[in-house]
Parts: sequence; C-alpha cells; structure tokens
Amino acid sequence: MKLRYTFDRKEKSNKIGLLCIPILLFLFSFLLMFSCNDSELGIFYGLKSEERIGIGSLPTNITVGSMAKAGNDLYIAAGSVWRKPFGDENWHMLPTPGGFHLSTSLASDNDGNIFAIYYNKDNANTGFFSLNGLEWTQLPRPDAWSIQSVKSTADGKIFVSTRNTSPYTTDNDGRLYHYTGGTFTLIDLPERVLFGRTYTSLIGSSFDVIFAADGKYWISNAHSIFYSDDLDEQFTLVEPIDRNRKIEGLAYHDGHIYFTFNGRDRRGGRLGVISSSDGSGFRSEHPITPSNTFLTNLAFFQVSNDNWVLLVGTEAVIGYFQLPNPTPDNIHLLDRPRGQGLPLVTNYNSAVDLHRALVLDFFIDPSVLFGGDLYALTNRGLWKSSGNFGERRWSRE
Amino acid sequence: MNLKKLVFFCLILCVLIININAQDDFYDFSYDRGDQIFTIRAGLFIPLFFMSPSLDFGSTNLSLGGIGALEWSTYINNRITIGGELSGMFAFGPNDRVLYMIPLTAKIAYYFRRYPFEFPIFCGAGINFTTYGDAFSMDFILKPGASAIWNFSHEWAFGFNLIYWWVPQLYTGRREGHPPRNHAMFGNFLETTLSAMFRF
Repeated sequence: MKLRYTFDRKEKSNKIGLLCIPILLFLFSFLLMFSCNDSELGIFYGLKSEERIGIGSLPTNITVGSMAKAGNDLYIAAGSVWRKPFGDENWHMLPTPGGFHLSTSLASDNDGNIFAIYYNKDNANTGFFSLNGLEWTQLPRPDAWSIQSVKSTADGKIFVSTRNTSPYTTDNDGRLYHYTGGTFTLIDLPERVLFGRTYTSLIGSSFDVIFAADGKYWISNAHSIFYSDDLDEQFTLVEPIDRNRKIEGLAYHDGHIYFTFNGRDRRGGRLGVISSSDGSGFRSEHPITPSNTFLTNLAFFQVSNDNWVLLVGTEAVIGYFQLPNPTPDNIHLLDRPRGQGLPLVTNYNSAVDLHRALVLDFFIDPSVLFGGDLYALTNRGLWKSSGNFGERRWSRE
Repeated sequence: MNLKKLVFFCLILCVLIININAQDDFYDFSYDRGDQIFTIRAGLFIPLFFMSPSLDFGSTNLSLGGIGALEWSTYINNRITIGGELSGMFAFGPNDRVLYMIPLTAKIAYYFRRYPFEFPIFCGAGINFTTYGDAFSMDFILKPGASAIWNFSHEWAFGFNLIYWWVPQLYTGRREGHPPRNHAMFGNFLETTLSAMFRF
C-alpha cells in the first residue's frame, strides 16, 4: 500500500504572489556586481594583507602624551615617564619625583637633557623637572600659573606653557616661555587685534610651537597663529580663526604652515579641518570627510627623497594625505580610512588599525633622514611604524 | 568491551535501516505548487581563500566562524522550490576584529529523492552586507550548494548542508574616496550547517 501525502492547498494560491519577491531580488542582485563601499580600502583586500599586531612591553591602556629622544634613548610621558634605552627592546618605567605622580608632557634639548611636567598627587599643582640619571630635579617655575606642557623645537629650544587656572577668571589665559640656561623668557605674542571697530582677543592657552625650515618659529595658541624669526621679538599674527574653532597642531612644509582645527558644521556636527597658510594671511581650508571627524595633531613624514606624506591624527586611525607635491592650491585629499587600516604611503601592505585609539600626536625619529621609525602617540598605547619603503609594518611598543 | 559496543551499534543501525526500508513501501512524498517550507540552519563557517581577478590567491586571515540562517521557500512543482533566505555569519580577523556578512538572497532548488532522503541542489543570489571594523560594503553574493535531508515525518525533516559563498568585491575605481580597481577581490567561503525543515 502506498500512501501519498499532499498538503492542504486552501489559501495557498494567494501566497504564490510572494514568489515575486525572491524573483525580483534574484534579478536585482545582478545589478550589484560592483560593490558599494564607504571607505577607500576594499574589505577583502584589507583582510588579505592584515597581519597580527605585535604586542610590546608597554601597557596597552596608557595615554601617551608626548615623546622625545635624548642621545639614543627614547622617552615617553604616559602617566609615568618611560625610557627605552638604545639597543633595548623593552621600555622601563622611571621613578616619579617625590610628591608628584603624573606626567603627560616631556621634551628634550640638543644637549640630551629631558624635561618633564609632573602633576602632584591631588592634581592641584604642577612642577617642572629635569632628569639627571634616574633622578628628577625640580626646576623653578616661570610664573604662579599652572604649568601645562613642555615642548621642544627642531633646533633644540625648550618651550614651557602655563595657564591661569584661577576660578575667578573665565578667560582661558595662557603664556608661553622659552627656557634656556635655567631662565624663562616670555614669548611676546600680541594679545588682541583690531577687527573693524572692535578688538578681538588672541589669548589662548593651548600652545603648539615649531621651528620650521624657513628659519621661523611658528606658534599656535588655540585660535591664532603667529610667527617670528627671533624669539626675543614680538611675534606677527598670521590670522585669527573663528573662536569657536580650536587649533590642535602645526606642521610646516615647503613654505607653508599646515594646521588642524576642529569646529562645528552647520548642522552642529563636529568638523575637522586642515588648513594652510604661507604667512601672509592666505588660507585654504579642507574639511575632512566624512564629517564628524575630530582631528588632533599633524606631521609631515618624508618617505623618500621627494615623497612626503602629511599624517593627521584622528579618532581610531591616522588619517593621511598623499602629497607628492603639496601646495595649498593643489592639495590632494584622500578619504579617512575609517578604521579600515593604516595605509601609509602608496600601498596598503601595512594595513592595520589602531584598535579605535585616538591618535594624539606623532613622533618621527629626527636622526633618520627619511623612512625612519614613525610613532603614533595614542590613548591606547604607543604604536611604531617601521620598515622599508613600501613594506612598513605597525606594531605596539 | 568495545566489540560489544560496536555490535550493539550495528544492531541498532540495522533495525533503523530495516524500519526505514519498510516504510519506503508506504510513503512517498509529493508536493504541489503552493506548499511551503520553513528552514532554520546553523553551523560552521569556513573561510577558504581570496582571489584577485588576476588569479592571485591569498589567505582570508579569518578564523573559523559561525553561521545561522532562516529560509522560506515554496514549491513550484514537486521537484523545484523557489524562495528567499536571510543569513548571518561572523569570523574573526588577525587582530580580533569581527567580520560580519549578512546576505539576503533569493534561492532556487531542485530536489532529487530517495526515500526517506532528499538531495536538493540549489543556488542563491542576492545582496550581501559586509562589515569589518568600521568599514561597510554592499556586495553581490552567489551561493550554490547541496544538502542531504532526512525526512522524519511528512512535516519535519533534518539535513546537512554544504553551501559555497562567492562574494565578489569589484570596484570601478572611478570615484574618489572609494577603493581603486586593484582592490577587486573574490571572497570564497564554505558554509557547513545542520538544518531543520518544517513543511506546511
């Protein structure tokens, strides 16, 4: 006996109409032979070349505020100050000065001295220190304000910034000093400028300073950029920017100063912008796409004789700009990789991401002419890019 | 001891085979247009390789992954079904980032039968949504495959599926800020799943 199962076909004929959906989907899908991708790196292409990132001796959860090289040794300020002696693979934590426990800023001069800013244990006060062997020596303060940061320029000059943290002032007031031979010299920056019939304040406390190849010192203080050939003379204002925008960092290349600042777009979203100037007030602005991008510092990295890359610190990744012949009028912008990877230079062999870290700054080994070690200072540890041109790899220090 | 277990297992197997063969005389499933199938699948996702259009093969650098899918289809006739399915897979990259692919495909299947088993071969095509880290891509996907299904009853069946995922990521290279043409890559993956089918 053979039983034959058939299903009840009541009310099924109307479901045949559902067949249209898969048929249409089937046909429509063939229209999508070319992928729609929201970044500039193919996902499978990036995966194919992705490599496991090595883990170094530094903790991965530290925020690296600044980095310096003294002699052949490397130093970072990342809460504690860490030192990597020449030839040693590992970083070693240096002891903190008594009564102080937190350092986020250090710099070195041309004589191999290391200077650092330390916060005391309740973060209420700061101190300025120099390193002698493994011992810290506290140096005098430039003024009664809170010492914010110490920076050095390519010619080995040391700069110290202070900020008025008094609760009785609403002004975000700051000063910048040149430190040499144990004394501080106040950098003379114009405090206000006449725009139309009103004066605009140029006071700001978030300094960046560089000594550029044009022989000028360039200084940014949150909302303004200044330059001078002589540290002892008053600096010249290039142009103030909108006070709703804040300058994050400076870099110089081929007659132009490049800087990053962050503001708001018309919809209220965050807007990261790279701008440039030749010092005469000209400025071209290049908003970073996609929008809602927060920019930090920037740096030019020379990868070969005539090939420079402008690196821009962002959230999650290092943004980059391919600038074979960078001029303000002919800047070639590339989309931010958006966590896809870190494609340095012209290839994607080194594609890794920085684990959603915020890249705060860069450090380029000054002793190598080009193609040397490049460090990314992030809120999730220190990253190093090294290797030959075209085959660079990122690893965690 | 092991011999005893083996003999016992063989006996059970013989009983089952005899029972199945005995049923073969009594049951013969046939389906009409409008009969429907709902299937749920789960199993392992095996990344195979990436291939460039110039036949350059490379590792996917992905770990073994997981896959799940829901499928609906309806019979056109006794041998052919057509339907759609929604799948989702995950696998880990070298730095522990997760690759997700969610294909939405239309599917056509042809059934070979040897009671109580059915052996459909099928092919699906559709849209594949891929994310890896912060990146997102929408691609075409082709999913040819075959299954072996054991009919437990006239409503329920259970099966094993081997499905190939072919995901081309092709780029025109014409749009600034999008991948250049040389980033074109064909993703090749294998889905191995167990499935439960309900026919109604």
